[in-house]
Amino acid sequence: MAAWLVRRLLQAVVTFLAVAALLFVLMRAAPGNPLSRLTDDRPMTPAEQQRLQALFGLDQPVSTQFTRFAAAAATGDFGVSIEYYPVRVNTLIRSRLPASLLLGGTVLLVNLGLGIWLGVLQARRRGSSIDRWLTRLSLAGYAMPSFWLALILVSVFAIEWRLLPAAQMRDPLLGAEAGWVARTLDLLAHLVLPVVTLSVVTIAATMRYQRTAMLEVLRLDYILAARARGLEESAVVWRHAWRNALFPVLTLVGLMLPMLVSGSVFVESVFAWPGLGSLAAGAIAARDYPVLMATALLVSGAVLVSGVLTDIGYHVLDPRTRS
Amino acid sequence: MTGSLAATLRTAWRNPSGRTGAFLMIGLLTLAVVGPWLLPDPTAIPDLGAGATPPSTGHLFGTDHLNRDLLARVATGARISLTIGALSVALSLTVGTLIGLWAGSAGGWLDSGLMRLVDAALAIPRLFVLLLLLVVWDHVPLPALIAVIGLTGWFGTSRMVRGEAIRLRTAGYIQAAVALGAAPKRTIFRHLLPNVFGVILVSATLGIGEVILLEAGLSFLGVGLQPPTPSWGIMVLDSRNYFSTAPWTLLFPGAMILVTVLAVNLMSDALRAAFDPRSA
Repeated sequence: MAAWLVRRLLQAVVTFLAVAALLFVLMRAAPGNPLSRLTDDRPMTPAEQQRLQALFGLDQPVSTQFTRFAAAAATGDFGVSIEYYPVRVNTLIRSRLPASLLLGGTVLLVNLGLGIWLGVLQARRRGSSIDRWLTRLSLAGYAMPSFWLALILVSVFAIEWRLLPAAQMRDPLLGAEAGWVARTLDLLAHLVLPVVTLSVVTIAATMRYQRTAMLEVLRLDYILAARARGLEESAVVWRHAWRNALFPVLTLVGLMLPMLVSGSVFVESVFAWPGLGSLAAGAIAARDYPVLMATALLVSGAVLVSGVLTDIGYHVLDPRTRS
Repeated sequence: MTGSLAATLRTAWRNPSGRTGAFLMIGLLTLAVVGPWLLPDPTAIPDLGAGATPPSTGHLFGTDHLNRDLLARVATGARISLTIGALSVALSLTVGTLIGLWAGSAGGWLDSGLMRLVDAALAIPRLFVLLLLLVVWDHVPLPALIAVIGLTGWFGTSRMVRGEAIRLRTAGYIQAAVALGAAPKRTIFRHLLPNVFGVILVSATLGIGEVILLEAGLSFLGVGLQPPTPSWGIMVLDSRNYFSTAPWTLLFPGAMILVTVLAVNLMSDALRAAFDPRSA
C-alpha cells in the first residue's frame, strides 16, 4: 500500500508540473498583449509599455519568466493582479474561495443525492416510461447552456414573480443586527437559483452512471438469491444492490469537478456570486492574466487531487485493484 | 466491418430517441444551409428606432434590440455553430486517433510520455485552456477559432483509441495479420483502425455537442467571435439588458443551442447503445 501510494503521489506531482508547463506554454502561445487594455482605447506610449512590462515581469527572457512562474506555482504566490493592482492574486483568491466552495459543495450534495436516487429509480423501472422520460429530461439538462438557464430563471423567479433574489450572496439591506436565522435564510434564498442552474446542467452524468452501475448489479445471482429468500424489494434494492453500485458513482466526483468549475464561471457571473468563477469571468474583460493562470492552476490541482483520492478509495474498498 | 457498421447504424436509427435526434439535426442543417439565402441580412438594421419587436408574420422570431431579424440571425448562427462543431471535432478526432494509434502501437517510453502529457492536459478544464489562448486575441478569425478548439479537444479521444489499440493488439486476427507479414502501417490502418471506429464515432458525436456549448459559452464571455457576428452565445449576451421587456431575444438563441446539442447527444446516445447494447 505504502509503495503504491508513494508511486501514485509522485505521478500526480509530475502531472502537476506538466500542467504548470502547459499553462505557461499556452500563455506564451496566445497572440496579443495582455496589457493593451490598461490604457483603454488610447494607444500606449512606448515608455508606458516598457514600465508596465517591467512591472509584471514581461520584459524578462522566456526562461526567466518560466522559472518565476514555476516558483510561483510551487509556492502558491502568483504576484499582483492586473485588474485590481496592487492587490495580490493570492488575496483575491482567498477572499473568493469560500463562496465558491459553498456553492460547489451544495451543488455536489444536490447532484449526488438527487442523481443517485433518480438513477436507482430508473434502473428499477428499466424500459418504463419513467425511465425513458428521466433520460430525456436529464439529456435536455445536459444540453442546456448554463448561462441561458440562469438568465431565464432570473427573469421568471426574480424579476417576474419576485420570489427569489436575482444576484449576489447576501441582501445588502440586511443589517448587522439581524439574527443568524434571518442571515441563514437570506443566504439560502440567494443560493437557490445558482444551485438549481448548476444541478440541472450537471445531474445527467450522475443519473446515467448510477443507472448503468445498478443495472450491472441487479442482474447478478446474489440479487436473485435475495429475492428468492423473499426479502422486501426495498431491502434488495438499497441494502443488497445499491451498496455495490455506489462506487462507480463516487468516482464521478473527480470527473465532475472540471464541469462544475467551468459551469460556475458562467453561473457565478450571471448571478454576481462572489466566488472564483465570477473572478475568472471578470478577469477576461480586464485581460488579468495572473488571475486566470492562478485559477486555472488551482482548478487543475484540485482535479488531480480528487483523482488521487478516487484511486485511494478504489484501493481501499476494492481489493481487485491492488494487483 | 462495413456490414456490421451499417447494421449498427440501422439499430441506432430504430431507436426512437436516435431518430428524433436525427430528424432535429436534418431540420437544423436545412435552416443553416438554406436559411441565410432566404432570410434578410442578419446584420442589417432596418429601423433602429423601432428596437426589439415581438414575433410577427414579418419577423417570425421577432427582432432584437437593434431591430435585426432574429430568425435570420439564428439561422446564420446555426451555420456558424454547426461549422465550428463539425470541423473542430473532425480535427480533434484526426489528431486524437493518430496520436492514440501511435502511442498504442509504439508502446515504451513514447507511449508513457504521451499519456502523461494527455493526463496533464485533461486535468485543465478545457474552458480555461481556451480562455488563456483566446483572451488576449482581439479579433479571432473563424478558421483560427476552429483550429484552437479542435486542437484542445483530442486528449480524451487519443487515450480511448490507445486503450482500444492495446486491447486489440493481442487479438487473434491482428496477430494473424502480423504473423502473415503485414507491415506495421498496414496492420494499423487496415486492421486496427476499422475496429476502433465505433469508439471514435460515439466520441465524435458527443464532442460536437460539447464544442457547440463551449463556443456559445466563450462568445457569451466576450471571447472568440465578436459582435456583430450572430453567434448564439453573443445573441444571448446581447439580450441580457433587454430580456425582461423582450423575452424572445433571450429565448430563441438559447433554445437553438439547447435543441442542437440535444439533437447531437440523442444521436450519440443511440449510437452508443447500438455499439454496446448492454448499457441500454
